[in-house]
Amino acid sequence: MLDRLLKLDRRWIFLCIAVATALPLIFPFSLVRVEVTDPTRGIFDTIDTLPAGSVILFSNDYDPGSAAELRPMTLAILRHAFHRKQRVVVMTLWPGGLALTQDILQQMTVEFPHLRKNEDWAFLGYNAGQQAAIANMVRNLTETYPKDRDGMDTASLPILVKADGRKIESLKDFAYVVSISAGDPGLEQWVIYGQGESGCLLGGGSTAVSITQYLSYFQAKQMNGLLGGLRGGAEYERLLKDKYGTEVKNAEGKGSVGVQVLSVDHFLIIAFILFSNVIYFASKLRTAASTGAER
Amino acid sequence: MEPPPLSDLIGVWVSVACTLFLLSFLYRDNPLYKVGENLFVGVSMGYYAIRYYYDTIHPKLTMELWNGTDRWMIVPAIMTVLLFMRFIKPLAWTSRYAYAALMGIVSGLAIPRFVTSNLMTPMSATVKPLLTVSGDSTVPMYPAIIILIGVVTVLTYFFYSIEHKGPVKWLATAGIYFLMVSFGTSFGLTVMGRVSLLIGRCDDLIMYAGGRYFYATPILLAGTALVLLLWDRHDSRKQAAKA
Repeated sequence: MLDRLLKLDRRWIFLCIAVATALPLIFPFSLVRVEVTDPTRGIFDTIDTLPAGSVILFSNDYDPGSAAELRPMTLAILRHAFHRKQRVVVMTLWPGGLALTQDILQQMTVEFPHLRKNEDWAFLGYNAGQQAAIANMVRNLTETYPKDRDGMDTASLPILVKADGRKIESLKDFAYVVSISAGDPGLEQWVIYGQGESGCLLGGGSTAVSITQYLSYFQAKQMNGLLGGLRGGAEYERLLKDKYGTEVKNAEGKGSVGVQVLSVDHFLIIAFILFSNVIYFASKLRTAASTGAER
Repeated sequence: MEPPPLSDLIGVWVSVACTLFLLSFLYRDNPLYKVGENLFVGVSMGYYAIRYYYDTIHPKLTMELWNGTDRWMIVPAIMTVLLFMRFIKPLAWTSRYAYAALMGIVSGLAIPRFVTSNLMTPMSATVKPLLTVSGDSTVPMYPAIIILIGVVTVLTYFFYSIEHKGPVKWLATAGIYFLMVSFGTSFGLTVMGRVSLLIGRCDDLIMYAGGRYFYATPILLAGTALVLLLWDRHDSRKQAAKA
């Protein structure tokens, strides 16, 4: 038996993970209650306290490869901002993020039919140059983005006029800057070239893999909030649901469902690790016992 | 429910097929996986090339030069041409000018900002909570002490100018434990990230399994399994013939 377990085909483990992932998605249930962490609360509280009409810059710096992790938090933040009647200027530093961002904005316009293009939201599109693009935005926004995605002059967009009548000319004029990123260019560049140079209020989200790297920025107050992976999206969705209930459509989205599946998978992976260690040490003991008996 | 437009339907079937082809690698390396892998690389390259051209080169270089709105764009245009000179052996040396300019600009842009944001500010944030009396800090006192001990011990571990003996050895050993905790956290988060991606794909496969998408997932799953079975049999026969 022990020998068979030691030589177990790893494809059985893949199959178990596949079943453990698919079943909770087909038959959703609530296994764990998501606890909200301080970095998540940072972004939520900022958006929740910004006055209506404030202009937020939202940089969607990822492509479809990371959408499963980052899309739930993107949707949750945008839903929150639009529900609070804030205005959002969206951009991307990733060419692969263009179609994805357009799809997200399309979804937002369906969920919030009162939103007016170029007044309540605008899409500036993709800008090449990575960190240079951010550094240029610190200096002058309309020079960096002379046209929006539809070819309109950015300077003429009504969204770039604040409630007090002053124009948004550079990064520091935005009430809040949010970057959801899957790597370079992304949050690190926004901290170094954006927040560091302009002093703008910055929050963001990233894939789970990179979260430890960015937590130091949160601790050093270079960012006032940080969401990590699918769990970060689930935490934000819980805050939205707790505060606004059914007022916000789809407040409980893919993040909340995904985090339950994540828990099942994590339990299974931990069980596999423990089980394989037990098997390993049992085989060691057996070998030691048989060697002792031979002597 | 109304079926989606034909273009969306084709997209769904292609995406389901590619997902299943790539996941088939978990069974073993096979021709379907190779199809999926090559399709992914080719389509990505094509998509990015087109995006870079139409979003950057065309509006910001070609059109600016063509319309004469910014004649200084001739400088980056020449630099770009020089970069490609690497492929012409007698002129390869000219690409060094473009690389030198690129390195100089990026270094000039990055070094001062990087030092401020990634070195000075985090250093000050490491010590500040210990000196803050009013408690006006993101990090409370006792985690701040752990962070400080972690920073000092890990730095000691990487300090090779003195021999790791006596108290220095204890500090360096403590540093190893901090590093192990850090690697463990990163590994756990990596697993979480990868599982999240799997959830994303499974979610799509389940969504496309219904009648609205003409049962894309079950049909293609059955097709993939059948091809794998046939290929497996063919491969074993080939191996047997070789033996």
